[in-house]
Amino acid sequence: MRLPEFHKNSFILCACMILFVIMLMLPAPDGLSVEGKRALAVFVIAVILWISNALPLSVTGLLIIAMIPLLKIMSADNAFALFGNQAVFFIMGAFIIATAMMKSGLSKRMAILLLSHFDTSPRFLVLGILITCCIMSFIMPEHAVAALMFPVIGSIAASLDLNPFDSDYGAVLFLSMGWGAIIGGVGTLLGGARNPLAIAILEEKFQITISFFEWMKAVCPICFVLLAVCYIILMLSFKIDIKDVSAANKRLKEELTSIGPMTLLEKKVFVILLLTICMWIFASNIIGLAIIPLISVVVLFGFHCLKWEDVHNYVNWGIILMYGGAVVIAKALEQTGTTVWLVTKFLGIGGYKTPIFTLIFFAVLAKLLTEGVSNVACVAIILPIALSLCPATGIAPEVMVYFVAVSSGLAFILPISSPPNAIAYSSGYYEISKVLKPGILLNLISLIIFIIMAIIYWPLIGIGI
Amino acid sequence: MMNTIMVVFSATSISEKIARFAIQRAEEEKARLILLDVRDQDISRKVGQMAGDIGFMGDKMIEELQHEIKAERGRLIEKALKSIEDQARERKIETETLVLKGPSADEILRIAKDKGVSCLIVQKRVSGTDMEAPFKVINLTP
Repeated sequence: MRLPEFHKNSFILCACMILFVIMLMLPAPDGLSVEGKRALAVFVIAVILWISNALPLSVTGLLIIAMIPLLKIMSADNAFALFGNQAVFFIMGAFIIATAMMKSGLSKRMAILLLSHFDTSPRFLVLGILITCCIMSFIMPEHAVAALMFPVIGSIAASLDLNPFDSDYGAVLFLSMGWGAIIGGVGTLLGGARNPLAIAILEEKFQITISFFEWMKAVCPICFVLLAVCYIILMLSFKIDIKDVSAANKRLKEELTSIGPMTLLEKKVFVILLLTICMWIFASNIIGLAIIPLISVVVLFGFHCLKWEDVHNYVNWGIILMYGGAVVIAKALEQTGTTVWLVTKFLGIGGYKTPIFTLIFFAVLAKLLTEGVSNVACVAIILPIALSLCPATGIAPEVMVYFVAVSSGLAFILPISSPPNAIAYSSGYYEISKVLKPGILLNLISLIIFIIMAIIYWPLIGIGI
Repeated sequence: MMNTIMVVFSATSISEKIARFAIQRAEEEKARLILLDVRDQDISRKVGQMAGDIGFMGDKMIEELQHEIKAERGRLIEKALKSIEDQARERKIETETLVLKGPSADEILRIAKDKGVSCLIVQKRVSGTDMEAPFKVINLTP
């Protein structure tokens, strides 16, 4: 029998409360302090809630921030101060800049302009959608790219007069939108908020960071290889059941005509965006990752590119609570020695012969978890534990961050795994059963390619595994 | 009295297999065919909720996305229904298309009763293997 969602969530919450009380009442296990046991209890509850979505992710973040000082794991001042982590402000600034791009119409213009270079054949159009969504996800959140591209792809599909029952090409169009956005989302710190969260957890634990440019340099080339593989898998897995895309070409031209020439507002947002990206690439080490977007946001308001109402309409502020909560629990686990205890107890530090085995283990774990859990939650759950293994195994913590964050971002099968997949699926052009095989194949091959690229390419740019 | 076959299409997708079966059966029984398109808000609501809770999109952005999803799905469903209607009319089958908002078994049965439906064809939630028919046939009259 299927339980209504409300009852299911209530049941999970009750079970969590009982489990929480039991864990607190039990004596601390050998090798773990009382504070460590309490932090573990909060972590277990947070993991259950993040996986089940019985509470919104942001409310689970609030629960963490309330429980950590209440259980005397960390002082209230210290716990609340972690909400001021620069990753939280970076994400906030990045989301507001994305709002300006969408509100001004700049993002739509950029997407259609890019796409209009690829509308000569059915296969080339698919490649165009993949590349457009990937590049757009380099500069704005991947889910926003999928939401932005959905009507564009929908209007292309409508213009092509596809078979409404079973058009493989319709499925390919929307899948290339979702998968392109997902691949691009791992390429920079802007595409997926999990990337700055991973850096925040790294900073809190090791006081080292990864700059915007370092991330791009390490992951962007991998994205282009993944795009090529994704394209091949799409072409091999689905039949291209149309021959002519001239109608799509016409529709894209109509779309471009309808949005008219570039407005002053778009020009202003474009210049500010360009300067912001240049600052991130060349000066984030000097100025600070989060300060740059915050200044850009002020400039956007100063030049009347945004109203506060727009920000409110396009951004859900729960994001700050989710990310703040994730950083707080990671810090609490680290400070109380819980992560070290967990890996010693359950994973056995001595059992890992090579760093590469450890890295692959966590990459696979992240891959498996991210298909059923939000990729942000996946990073919040796995990374604090994975980083604890770094000193014992000799793995550079930055490398572990790349392995966990990138693997967490690459979920290609289920709609519940990430918003771009859900948005693509909602088009109605395909059933989940249709993407199982290509999705599993892409998941597997993307993992292998990522590992091979990390082994071959990263040493060339000075990242040693 | 002429038999009436009602085929119920869910909001998830319109299966060509079901449509072919229903048309064939209506032709064999010289029955009237009713296409019932059950539209619910479930997918756009779920995607919207996910976009807000996991993607942290703002309310207006979610609203716009949900509107686009509904429009896109609606367009696809209408095109599919039109194609089924055309195929049925080519075989001289009397066809009627009805739209029901919100998935309600009671409402489907009420329509079936009102329209004097003798046979109901519904899509299965999980179709299983390809060999298995992805639908269920329910005879409403003895």
